[in-house]
Amino acid sequence: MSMDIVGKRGEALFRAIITKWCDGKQWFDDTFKGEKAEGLDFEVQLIGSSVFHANFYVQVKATAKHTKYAGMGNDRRLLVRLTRADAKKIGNMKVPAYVVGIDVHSGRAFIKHVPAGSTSGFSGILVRQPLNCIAIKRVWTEVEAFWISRPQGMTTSDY
Amino acid sequence: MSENDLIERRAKLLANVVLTRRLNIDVFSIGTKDLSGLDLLCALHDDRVPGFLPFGVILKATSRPLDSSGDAASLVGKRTLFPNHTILMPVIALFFSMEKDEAYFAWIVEPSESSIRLRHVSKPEFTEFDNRQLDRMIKRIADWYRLTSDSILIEGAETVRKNGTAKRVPVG
Repeated sequence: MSMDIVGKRGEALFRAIITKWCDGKQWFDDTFKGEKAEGLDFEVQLIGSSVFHANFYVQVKATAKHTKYAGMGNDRRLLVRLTRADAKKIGNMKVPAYVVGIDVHSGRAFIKHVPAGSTSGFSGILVRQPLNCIAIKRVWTEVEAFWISRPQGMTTSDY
Repeated sequence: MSENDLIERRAKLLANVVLTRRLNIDVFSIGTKDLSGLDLLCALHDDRVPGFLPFGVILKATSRPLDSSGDAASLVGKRTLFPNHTILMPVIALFFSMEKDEAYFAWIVEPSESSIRLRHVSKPEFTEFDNRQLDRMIKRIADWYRLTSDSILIEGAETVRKNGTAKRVPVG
C-alpha cells in the first residue's frame, strides 16, 4: 500500500468532512497550507461568520495501521500522535487550532482541540469526539465566539 | 465563493474520497476541463496489470437530495455529459448530492468485457456507487487494460506482465 495514497486519502477525507453540508448548508471552507505551515496542514474559514476571515487551523493525522484503536468504552481512542514540539508550536499561536485524526479505511474522523499554551502532545483522540454535523456546528460556534471576543489587535505602531 | 463554486469544489473532494476507498487509485485534478471534457484523471494500480492504467471522470453535483439512481438519471438527463470529442480510455460519471453525500455512478466510455472496444454511452445508466460498484468498476477497467495490452503491445505484453515495464517492440 502506497503511503502517498494513504496521505492523499486522509487529506481528501478531512476536506470532504469539514466541508460537509449540515442543515442544508456548508459551514466551513478549507485551504491546504502544506509544508509551508510547519505542522498546520489546513486553514479553515468560517462561512457566514460576522467576523471577517474568522478561521482556525488543523493538523490532520491519517492512519491506515493494522492497530488503529486502543481502549474500551468512553476511553476508546484512535491512535494518532501529536508531538510535544508540534503541540508547543500550535499552542504558542494563540489562535483556535485542532488535530483531526482519520481512519482512512472506515473514513471516520475525530477531533481534538489544542489549547493555547499547550506544552505536551498526545497519543490518541477519543472516538466519542467524532467530527460530524454536531461537532461541525459546535466548532463553528466556539471559533466564532473566539474571534468576536478577541482583543482589538495591534492598535499602535512606530510606522 | 458562490454556492455553485462550493458544490463543484466539494464534488471533487467527494470523488477523491469514494474512488480511493480501496487505496489503489490515484486521483489527479485536470486544470482545464475545456481541453479534455474531464474533471479528474485517475490511475488504477492493479497487480494483474502493472503500469499506469488511466481512466477519466466527469463530475456532476447538486444541492438537492437524491433518493435513488432514478433521481440521478433524471437530473443528469437534462445536462450534457459526453465530451464533444473522442476519448480513448474508460470514462465514468459520478453524481453527488451535497445533502447526504450520496454518490451515483455511470459509464460514459464503457470498456467491453470481452474485447478491446470502448462503447460511448449516449444514455448513461446511473447506479449507487457503493463498494460493490467500485470493485466492479475496478475489475472492468483492469480486465480491459489486460486485453488491450495483449492486443497492442504484441511481444511486449509478456514483458509488461513480468517486469511492470514495457519493452519497445517494432511494429509492422
